[in-house]
Parts: sequence; C-alpha cells; structure tokens
Amino acid sequence: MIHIYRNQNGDSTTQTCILGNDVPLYESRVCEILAHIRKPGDFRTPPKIAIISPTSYSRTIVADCLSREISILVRNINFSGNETLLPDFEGFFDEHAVYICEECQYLYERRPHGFDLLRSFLSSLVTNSRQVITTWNQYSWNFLCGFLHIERWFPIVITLPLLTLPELKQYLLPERKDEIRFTIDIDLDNTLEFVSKDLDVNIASLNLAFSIPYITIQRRYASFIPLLADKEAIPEELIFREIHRLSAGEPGIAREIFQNAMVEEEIRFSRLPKPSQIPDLDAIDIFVLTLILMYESPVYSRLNESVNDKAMLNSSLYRLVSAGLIMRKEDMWSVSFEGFSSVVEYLKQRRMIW
Amino acid sequence: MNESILTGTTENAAITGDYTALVLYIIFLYAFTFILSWAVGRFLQQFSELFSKDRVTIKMMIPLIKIVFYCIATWFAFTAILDPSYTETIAFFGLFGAGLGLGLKDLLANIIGGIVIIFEKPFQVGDKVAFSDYYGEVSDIGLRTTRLVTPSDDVVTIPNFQIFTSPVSSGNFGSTAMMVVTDLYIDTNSDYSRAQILVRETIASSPYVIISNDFPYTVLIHSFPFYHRIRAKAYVTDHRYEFEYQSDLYQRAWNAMKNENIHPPPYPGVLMDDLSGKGGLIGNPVHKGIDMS
Repeated sequence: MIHIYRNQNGDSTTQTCILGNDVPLYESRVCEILAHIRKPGDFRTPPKIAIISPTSYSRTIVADCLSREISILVRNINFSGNETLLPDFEGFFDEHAVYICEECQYLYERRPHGFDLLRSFLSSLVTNSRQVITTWNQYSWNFLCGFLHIERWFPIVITLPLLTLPELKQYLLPERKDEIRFTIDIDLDNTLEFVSKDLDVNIASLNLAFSIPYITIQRRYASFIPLLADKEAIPEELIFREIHRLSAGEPGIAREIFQNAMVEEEIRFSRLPKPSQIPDLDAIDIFVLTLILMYESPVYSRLNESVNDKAMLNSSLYRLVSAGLIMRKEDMWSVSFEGFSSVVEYLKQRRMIW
Repeated sequence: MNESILTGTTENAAITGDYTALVLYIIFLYAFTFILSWAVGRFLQQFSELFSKDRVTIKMMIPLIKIVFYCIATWFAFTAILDPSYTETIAFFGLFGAGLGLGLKDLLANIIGGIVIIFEKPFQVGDKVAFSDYYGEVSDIGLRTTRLVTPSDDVVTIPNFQIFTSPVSSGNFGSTAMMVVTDLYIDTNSDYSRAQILVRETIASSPYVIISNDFPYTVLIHSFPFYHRIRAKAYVTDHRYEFEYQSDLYQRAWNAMKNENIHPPPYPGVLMDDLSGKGGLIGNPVHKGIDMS
C-alpha cells in the first residue's frame, strides 16, 4: 500500500492505493493511472491515458502491472510487431474492455501519407467511450506534440522519469545483494573533469524555489564519494555511478549493462562498456539516428520509407554501426546500450529531440 | 632596437635621423598583429564548426577581437613614435581626427560603420542576410567592409557604410536554426486541403527540419484567380541546409501530390479551359525559394 500525494488547484490531497501485485518500478505512477480508470457504476467518459518513457522497458513494466491490477477484461495490443497490422480502426474499440495499446509510435511513419494510420487511430480513440491506455516513446511523443499537438487527445499524460542513482541502485540490486561482489580491476582515469551542477535554492518564506546552474571541477571517480577524494573509493559506489552515467538513469539500459557486467556473482568494472564517441555525422546520419531512437526498434523498410534513398540509408547505418551507436538484431535496428546516453545528449544538442 | 627612440628622447633621433629601428618595430608590430588576429580568427572559425548551436556566437567574437588587437597595436606604435604627454595625446587625436575626417571621409565612415555593426549587431558573422540584391552567409565583418558568401560561392564585399545606412534583413539573427519559407502552387481544381496535409507531412519527414514547441511550423493556403499558393514555413536545424531542405520538400511533396491527382497550375497566360484534363505536365510558374518576409 502506498500513498499518493497530488496537488490539484493548489490543494494537497492524499489517496491510498492498494496494489495486489509486486510493482518493481513506478509504483506511484501505476497508482495514479489506476485512480483514473473508471470503476463500475461510474458513468463518466473515461479519459484517454498516454504513458511515455524514453525506452519500452519501463513502459512495458507499467503496462504489465496495469494488466494485472485491473480486475475487468483487459485487451492488450502491441503495435511494434507487424508493420501492416491494421488497415483502419473502424470498430476497433467495440468490445467492453479496458484497452492497453502499447508502442503507439509505430502507428506513424515520417513520410508523406505516413500519418494516415495515426490519424485514424486518434479519431477512433475519441469517438468511443472505452477506457484506453496507450504507451509511447517519449521522443516520438514530443515530436508528435510539435507536429500534431497529440496531447489534445490525451487528457492524462503520465511521464515515467529517469531514475536517480539511489533509485537505480535500489532497483538493480536484487534480494541476494550480499552475494554480489564488486571489483575495480582496472586503473581508473581519475583526472579532473568539469561537471555541471545545479544549486537548489528554496526560500520558504517567499514560497520561491529555483535552481542556479554552476560548473565545478572534480575528480572523475574518486570524488564521487564525499570526503573520499583521492582515497580508496567504494567499488560498489563507483560501479553504480558508472552504470548511471552510461544509462542516463534509464532502467532498461542500466539493467542490461548491469547483467552483462556480472559473471558468477561478481561485477567487474572492466566489463562495463566504454561510452560511445559520436563521430562527425551529416544531416541524414543524424536523421536516421533520430528515427531509430524514436521508434526504438524499427525495421529496415520503415527507415527506408522515411529516408527514401537506399544507398544513403545503407551508408548511414554503416557509419552508425561502425561508431558503436546502433546495433542490428535480425531486421531491426536499435540504439546500443553503451551509446544510449551519448546519442540522447548529442541529439538534444542538435535539437532533433527534446 | 634603439632605446633612445623608444624612451622618447627624440632629440638624438632627430639629430642622427636614424629611424630604421622605429620603422622596423612598427612593421613588426603590425605584422605580428596581423598574424595574431588571423591565427585567432582562423582558430575560432575552426573551433566554431565543432558546435552546431553555438557556432554563430563564437564567430561573433572574431571581428571584435580583431579590432581590439589593432587598437592595441596602434597604441603601441603611437607611444613608440611620440611618447606623448596627456595634453599632447589629446591635441594629436584632435588634429588627427580632423585631418582624417576631411581627407578620408569615406574610409572613416566605413570604419565607423564597421564598429557600429559590431556593437549594434544588426547581423553577425555566420548569419544569412539579404542586402540590396545580395543574399548569403556573412563570412567576415572587417573594419572597412563586410563579406558575404552567396549560395553560388561568390564572395561579395560590401562597404560597411552602405550596410550601415541601408536596411539589412537577417534570416537567423545569431541562431543556427532559420525559418525557411517555401511556396508551392497548385491548380484550382486540385484538393487544396489534402495538399496542405501532404505538405505538412512532408515537412515532418524532412531530415533538415526542427519541429518543436520552440520551433513551430505552419502551412498556409492563399487562393488566387488561377491557382492556390501553399506556403510552408519551417525551421531548418542549420541555415546551411536551406536549399537542401527546399529541394527535398519540392521532391517529396510533388511525388506525394502527384499520387492524389494534385497538379501545378498552367503557366500564366494559358487558359485553364484549354488544359483541363491534361494536368501533370507543367511545373511551378514561380519558384520563390528565398522569402525573408
């Protein structure tokens, strides 16, 4: 049981949420969504809900939890599979059920005529009285907000935030925490680096809170541990700090890195991947990288529809794979785990995502 | 170097007439300043290319640094020649200014125009500007002239005084992102609402465009007697992609519209009735690639 603190119209209210199953992540968000779902005897038109996150991992966790928690009939639909899944959405929401539509970013393609399916979906969404929960890639969602103002179709938007270091540590460390050993088996680059930080200022008497950004210099690893700069740092802390840096706090990416680094109950620093360096990319390369990040696992044909030039697309994919930024699994392309944070940072700087 | 000259004991210099060291010193001073300002300018040019968002901001500093360097060099040269007292300095600059004002009026006007451009910033190095009949990227703001590189790679040198006294429009004004306005024309029988949607989707599909709340796009329709104009306004990520974006937009939009029986209008002067039912053969009557309005 957890308590949700909500602030609406300036009033703080407390709600109690009882979950029947274990929720590994985002408990409060699951409770918030459940609070919006229409109960028996409630004649309101249920609000359409959008759940957004940078990767599918956290969305899937939340969607699975919701499926288990909702006591009435639930229909799960995932759009990431078949590219030619649905010609139109006429009569799609006829059944009396709660619909969970996952990976809705696959409903559009960035090409002329490529948004017809999405328009049809949105139109059928608002012309029925069913409870519909949708999940979206965060970068696709932001793009669609700029392009279509998609937020107008969804009164409730739940953003699954990136995890902080303590949250990430708590999530990754399993119950058999004591059995896992952490080893620093390489010489760490302990040179100085510039770090951007925010100084949070809170003036309670004026009801004013703001942050002042500043730049500081610190040692790359040792000084992450307070009062331990230039002394022996705790290996566990250093490894988690590095995982957090590589994953940018995204739980799915962090979990992959964590599991790949573990061999026989031991996690070695040397097994953590090196962050990818972004080479000099041209506009088409950046566009392809953006598409892959926005869809997460697009197939080749989907990319080709957007780029409209096979030779250019192949050249871009080759360059991006060579740089270790993306990887191929069968016919699907996705951003590599070690490249995730660099790619997100780079594309944000280029204003392709935000 | 002759120390007596530099320390201001000009009597000896006047008697002996040996100004060689002084002349060499001044030549060396300006040569050094030229090389230093060129090197710093070159470094900042290269350095700025590493950044997408801040490229223009870094380039802005180049003319300012050049002016500072030359001012310092001139001050050193001036003190080396005369080593004047305060009163002499004031008197010198007064006479110097009056002399130059009369004799080199145009040159001074250009220099003052350059300084005003640097401080007032109607545009900056790296901006896309339209001035008179010229359009291009500002490559250098000098003390006397400003240089533009046109899309056809011609370098246009414009005296600062002319820029200072005439209207100049800057397409991006210090930012790398720039709004590009592109017009497409369709005939009156075509479905202009569908054409508008297709142009919107074409913009969203372009590799060169930013679409966000900070960089909105818009597609407008204006009806004329013999055709509809579809005006697409969108921000390119970098103003250097202006023409690539337009070319991409034309290509994709016309391909998409062709499939939906949306056609360009006939050429002006040709009756619509003569061509009814024969659409799809004619290109745009007007290609208005650059529109700073």
